[in-house]
Amino acid sequence: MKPRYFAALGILASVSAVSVVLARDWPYAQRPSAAMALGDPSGKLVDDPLRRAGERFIPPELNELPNNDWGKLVRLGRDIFIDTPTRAPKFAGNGLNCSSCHLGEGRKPDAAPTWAAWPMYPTYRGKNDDVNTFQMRIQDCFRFSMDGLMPPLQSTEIRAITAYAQWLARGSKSGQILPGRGFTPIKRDIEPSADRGRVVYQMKCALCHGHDGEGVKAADGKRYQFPPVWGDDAFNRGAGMYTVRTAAAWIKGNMPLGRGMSLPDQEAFDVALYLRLNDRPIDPRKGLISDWSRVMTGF
Amino acid sequence: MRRAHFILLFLLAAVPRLVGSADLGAVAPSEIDADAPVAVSPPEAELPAPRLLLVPPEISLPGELTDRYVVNEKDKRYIPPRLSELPANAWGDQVRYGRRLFVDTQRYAKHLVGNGLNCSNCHLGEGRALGAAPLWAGYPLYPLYRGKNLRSNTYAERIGECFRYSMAGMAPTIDSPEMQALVAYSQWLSTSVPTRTIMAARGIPGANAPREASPEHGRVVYDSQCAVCHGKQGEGVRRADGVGYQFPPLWGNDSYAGGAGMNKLGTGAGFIKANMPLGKGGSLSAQDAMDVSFYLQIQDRPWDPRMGWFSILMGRIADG
Repeated sequence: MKPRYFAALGILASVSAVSVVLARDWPYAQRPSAAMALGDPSGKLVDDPLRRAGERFIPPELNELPNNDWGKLVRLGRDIFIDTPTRAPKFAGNGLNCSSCHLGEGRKPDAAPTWAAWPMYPTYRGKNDDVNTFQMRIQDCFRFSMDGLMPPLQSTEIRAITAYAQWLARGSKSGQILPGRGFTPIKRDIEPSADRGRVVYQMKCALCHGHDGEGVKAADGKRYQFPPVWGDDAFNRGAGMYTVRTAAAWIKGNMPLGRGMSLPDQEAFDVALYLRLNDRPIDPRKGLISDWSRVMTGF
Repeated sequence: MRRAHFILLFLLAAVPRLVGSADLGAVAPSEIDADAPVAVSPPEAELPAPRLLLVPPEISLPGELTDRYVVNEKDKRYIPPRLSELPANAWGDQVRYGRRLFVDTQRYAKHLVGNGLNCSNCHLGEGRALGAAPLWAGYPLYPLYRGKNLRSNTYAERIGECFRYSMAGMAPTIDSPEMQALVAYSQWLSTSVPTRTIMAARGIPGANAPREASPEHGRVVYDSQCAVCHGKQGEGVRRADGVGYQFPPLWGNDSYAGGAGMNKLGTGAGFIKANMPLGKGGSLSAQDAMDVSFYLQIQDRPWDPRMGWFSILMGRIADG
């Protein structure tokens, strides 16, 4: 190999290294320290008058369940919730569990906890322009986020998950918006950048979710320890997580795992856009062609 | 089995109907006259005469459930939201539709109802009244295990049973607009009721009768206290527009089916004691309520849909 090739390679490597360093430096300009979360999470939520610092709904413990028919149904619902591809193989289409998004077995605030959702249903949803019952909402999760088939409303899976959610919501008042419901509030007027998103992803997310978004398999080789965020085993293009702002709110409140609220809004938006631009199953509401055209045009 | 056997069985089944479905000493209900002196058997002769006067109601509704965890404090009642508080959006429309279904089932869901009842005929006050299985006390408890079918039921399944038994009709499918609207109406009525909490006014309060129920005395009480609205033959009073009933029928083809909870002695007695006569709930004694409940139970009404014609036929033959 001639020396000028070495020189060209060296120039290329230095340029890429500089670009990487520049790109790495960019998000750090947002805040002084990467390790420190931006204050107390509950203290940042004052824009919602119903969220008061220090007040959190506490769902019941699993060992409080009685060992009767109803208790078994609730336990089955929990099993399906945290181990969906194994417990509901007919309906789960990818490698995700319900608890991949609804963290902490559906208990964690700001990760769409089921105890905060249950009292609000039936409710109007813009997604299908209709008033949905809780069961229909679960069906939507199976269809979009789990890229599978909708369980029938009278199926054991729906009944069990409904019972589980209702049990978790024990004591929460019907029609009351609980603190921690849905995702954490996030700014609207943010221009996301996929390039920055890629950098943030590789720095902060790829450790668990993989550099190709492939996740990490559990020791048994079937289940996922850390869920894939794109690819065939991830949520499809119809999921709420495919919406940039929704995903950004979820990422901001919960990611990196155990360090929720540590990313600034801008980085959360960037990562969300980066996830959106990667390949994943098509939107089941659309045909292959219309979905592909949407992918080609960007939205 | 040949055709002749079927004919024989049907003839056998017709015998008790000819004699009179209510076993009142071979007195058909059409021959009963309230004004005529009633010959009663000796044990019932010791009962006090049926009260025709207004007595102060026994305020015993919340106290009967105190062995359970009670959210409502004494002298405090849960008040469901008002209809005027509903917003004018799609969800509000859904809730309003559910209310219309509930209070005027004959008009809005006639294809699902086999008799002449509305939901609000038992769930009084549009599903709000205490002591009449208010929706806001039932909805937060479901999914719930029920001994009736030995499994945990979702709320939609419970509504389906109301249609199947109490309304002698067909259960709407869980994804039908009727079912969704009824669930939305129930959830709205339960606004701010804590989930999985047993409210004091849940369900239908019990009625502990000191003696065994007597249909003869039940007939006396029925004719004096109930028949003015529900009719001597339990036929109810039709509405002026002909759609459904002003006062619901209590037996006959337009009444609840044999599998309804109201057809159980204790449940019917509890409902009657707590709510009947309308607006004078609690004025009947527990014994009177139990007797009336028994009197209603032995009348003719639509079949229990869980049973086939054969078992019903055999039951009728066994009953004589």
